[in-house]
Amino acid sequence: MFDHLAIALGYVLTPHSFLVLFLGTAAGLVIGALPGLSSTMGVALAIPLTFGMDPKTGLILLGAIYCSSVYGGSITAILLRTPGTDASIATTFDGFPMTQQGLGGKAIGISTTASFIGGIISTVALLLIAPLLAKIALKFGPPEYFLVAIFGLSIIISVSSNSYLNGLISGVFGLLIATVGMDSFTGYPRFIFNSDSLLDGIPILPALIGLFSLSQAIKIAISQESSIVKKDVSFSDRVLPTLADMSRTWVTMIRSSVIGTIVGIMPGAGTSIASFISYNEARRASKEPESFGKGNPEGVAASEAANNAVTGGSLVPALTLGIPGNAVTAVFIGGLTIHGLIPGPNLFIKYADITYTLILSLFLANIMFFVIGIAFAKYFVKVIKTPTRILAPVICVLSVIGSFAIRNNLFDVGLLFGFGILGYLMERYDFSPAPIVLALILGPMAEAELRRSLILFHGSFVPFFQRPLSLAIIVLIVLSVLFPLYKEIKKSRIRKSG
Amino acid sequence: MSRTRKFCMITMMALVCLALALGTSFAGEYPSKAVTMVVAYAPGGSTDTLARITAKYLEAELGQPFVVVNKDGSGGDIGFTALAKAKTDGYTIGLINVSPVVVNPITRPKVVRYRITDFAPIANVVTDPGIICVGADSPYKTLQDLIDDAKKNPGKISISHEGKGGGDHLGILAFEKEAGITLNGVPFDGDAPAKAALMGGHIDAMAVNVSEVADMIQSGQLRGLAVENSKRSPEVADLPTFPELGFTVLQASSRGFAAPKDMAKEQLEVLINAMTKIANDPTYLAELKKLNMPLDFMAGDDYGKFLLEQHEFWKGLWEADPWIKK
Amino acid sequence: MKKRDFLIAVVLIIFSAAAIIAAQEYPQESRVMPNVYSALLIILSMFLIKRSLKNNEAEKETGEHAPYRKFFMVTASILLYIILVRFLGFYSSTLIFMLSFMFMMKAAKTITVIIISLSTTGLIYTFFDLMLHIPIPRGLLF
Repeated sequence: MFDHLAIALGYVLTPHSFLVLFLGTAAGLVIGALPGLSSTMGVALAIPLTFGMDPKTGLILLGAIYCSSVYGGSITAILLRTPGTDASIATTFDGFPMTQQGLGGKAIGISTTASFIGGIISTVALLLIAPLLAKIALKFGPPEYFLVAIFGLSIIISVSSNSYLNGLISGVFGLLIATVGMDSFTGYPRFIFNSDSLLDGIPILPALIGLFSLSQAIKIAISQESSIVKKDVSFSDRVLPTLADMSRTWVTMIRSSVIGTIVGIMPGAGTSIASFISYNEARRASKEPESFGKGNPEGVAASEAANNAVTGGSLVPALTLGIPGNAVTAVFIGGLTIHGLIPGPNLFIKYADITYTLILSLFLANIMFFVIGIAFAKYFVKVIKTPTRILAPVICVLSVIGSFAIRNNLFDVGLLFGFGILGYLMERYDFSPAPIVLALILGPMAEAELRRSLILFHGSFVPFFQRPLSLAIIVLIVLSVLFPLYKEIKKSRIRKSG
Repeated sequence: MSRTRKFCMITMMALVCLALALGTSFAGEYPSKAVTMVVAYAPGGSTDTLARITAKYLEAELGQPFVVVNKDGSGGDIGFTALAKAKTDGYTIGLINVSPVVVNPITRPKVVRYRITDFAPIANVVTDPGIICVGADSPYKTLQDLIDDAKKNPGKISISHEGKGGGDHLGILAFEKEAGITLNGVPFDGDAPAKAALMGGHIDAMAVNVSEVADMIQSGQLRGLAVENSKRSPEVADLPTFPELGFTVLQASSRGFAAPKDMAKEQLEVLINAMTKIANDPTYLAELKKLNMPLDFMAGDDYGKFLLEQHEFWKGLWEADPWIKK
Repeated sequence: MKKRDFLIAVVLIIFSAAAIIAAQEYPQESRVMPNVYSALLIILSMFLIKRSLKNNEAEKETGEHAPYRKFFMVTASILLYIILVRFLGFYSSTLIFMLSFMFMMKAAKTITVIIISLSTTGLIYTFFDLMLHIPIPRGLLF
């Protein structure tokens, strides 16, 4: 391994590779920050560019775009509450309140550091224990995926701390509209109202951009305030986290990196699930869970460490087994095969120099976006000083073009508008829009995996409790849902009696 | 190569060049912007890979990007419907897969909202036979092992396929009928999750196409049992075919390019000519070989004829004995 | 608080009931989950009604009056913009939208408004069209 690494290092540390790395990182940052342009799209769009390159250079480019686009979404999520993709939804929960308190720079510093740590930890895992991790990934079958989806959905309870009822209503409403589209088990279309554009179900990104970005644009356009940050808030330009910040968040960052890596290796799960689960766990582990959602830096750290940890994790099954961990790595595999590299056990032996070049370039991509992020954060933060009346139309325009570009479909722009109004009204009437997006992502997964499990088990639920891994996840769910509920109820009892 | 075939090839090439010259002069600017290529399966699968590779060559040939758009789900229906109902301005084409694109409208005429006649054929590229495989440490060494166990445990052996009524599923049904067994079919959304489930031992067997698993069989991650084709596949040459084992199960998936039916003739011509040229490009053929995709090139009307024949074949079979009970 | 939650609950119950009725024609297997979710939503809405009836506190005005007029103006201009995109194409409608929106809002000096509108459109063109080759809707005008 080390001689391969040395060869790869010699290749990566050339000016030419560095230039590609820099350009890829910069492009990834912009793609991640823009609404609707996902990592998948960034990598897919870059693949034709790699045709003319040699495989190593091509992989450096793809790796750089992948890592930095996942990070890039956090910048707009924190500063404007407009997550570029579903990976950064959980970042908005605490990132935007921090911005409103004048701590936008600090939030970006934390998110950059967390993303960096998440990316590095998962890349180390990819480098050192990929075959072991791949074995773990294979232990997950349909019942486990179903339970992971349920685990992810349980965060609805965390994000609706002001009213469980309102949160549950949003979540179940989301689950109901998530059933729209063709049911792949029977081939029967549900609730599509003769619209071909709905056959695929409600597309997540236009809904997400509507509920978060467009509703935010409407909100700030209407609001009396001339800027996002209240006038009386003092501004801090400090970006790099202080020692105190780090000592407060490092446990969260590492825990979330591990969660992100594990979720990443599961084929079919994704960045958003990882960041939701990590956010939930950070809140559960915290001594002051009620401070989450009000600008707790740990919330930002949890979400961002986790979604960047998915990058390394998702490449584990892709490189070792040839099975993509998510949509981005599926495109990655497409890129590899086009260059004549067949993912699988051979990749680490026959094409070891190229594989190690890719892994090494992931390290460098993480360092690169960390440096760029910290260096430019000061300028990013300026965005929030822009008058809202200028910001609002710009967000509208980016939302429209972003939701169109996903499927090149004007219908999606109509959906964006509908969800934008829904999001605005919901927030006005104390219903959080996050559970809807969560349900749109996890609802179809939960339903399909449940039905698949039941076919496998001939209609019986008993095997869910007989499989060690699924039993373990059930215990986790019970602990993470019931324990905080129990704590809250006890607390409110004390409050009442006192 | 015989002299007549050589002659035919040369004539064909000359005709292609002529047609290409005429085509470009007629079609004027087409394509003058990016062309969307609808793929009815998830990214990373073999249809998707074929699309992305061919897109690269089409772009080199026609000077405009061909953008792959994955509209996967429901055994291909979502993507096929999107293609059939797409704008006919020439800027949406897509891949259609036989048998699903032929069979789905026959078996579910109410649900499936396209007919095979809604497509204008461009060219078939690959015909990829079906295969039954199991995990590397599975107790089934041969197809007979699986049949014997299925006879002892009817309905207990789980086998993945890519959705009811899809080619994989039809292959399973035909196999079940001939072998006198019942298996437990489990639909998966795409090959990747199904492969992971098979390698993890969550399912017992998998019905899939050769190109999707040839590498994994070669490297020993999976074990092939039998190929659903009349002749052996070069990628997995040691595997017996179903006819060799005394069954008539034949099932292959053909992947080709088509457009919505009302697209302008001149534009179709441009694409057909470009595809014909690409299919004769040795580097393209080498890439297909690397991906274990057997070339089976049919252009334009030939392809259209093949689609109609397939339609008649499956329709006859369905009417004689429907395989999906309501 | 009370009346508003009550109304939301009623709307949700009607929505779920409609979903249950629409799902009747689906095959048994496809119908189960939508029906479960609809039923859950009805039950949760009942709780919402219960809460809205129990909360007998006087309706608290949040101070800020609901800015309906402004809300209507903003959403209407976004809707108009989306419709324009279909007919005029993306770039020209974006220019029109940005200029008129910012003038309507009196966002900045005329020259600033023009510069911002032009540069936003130009940047999108450079990034989406020239660099990423994403096909952008074109219409009558560029």
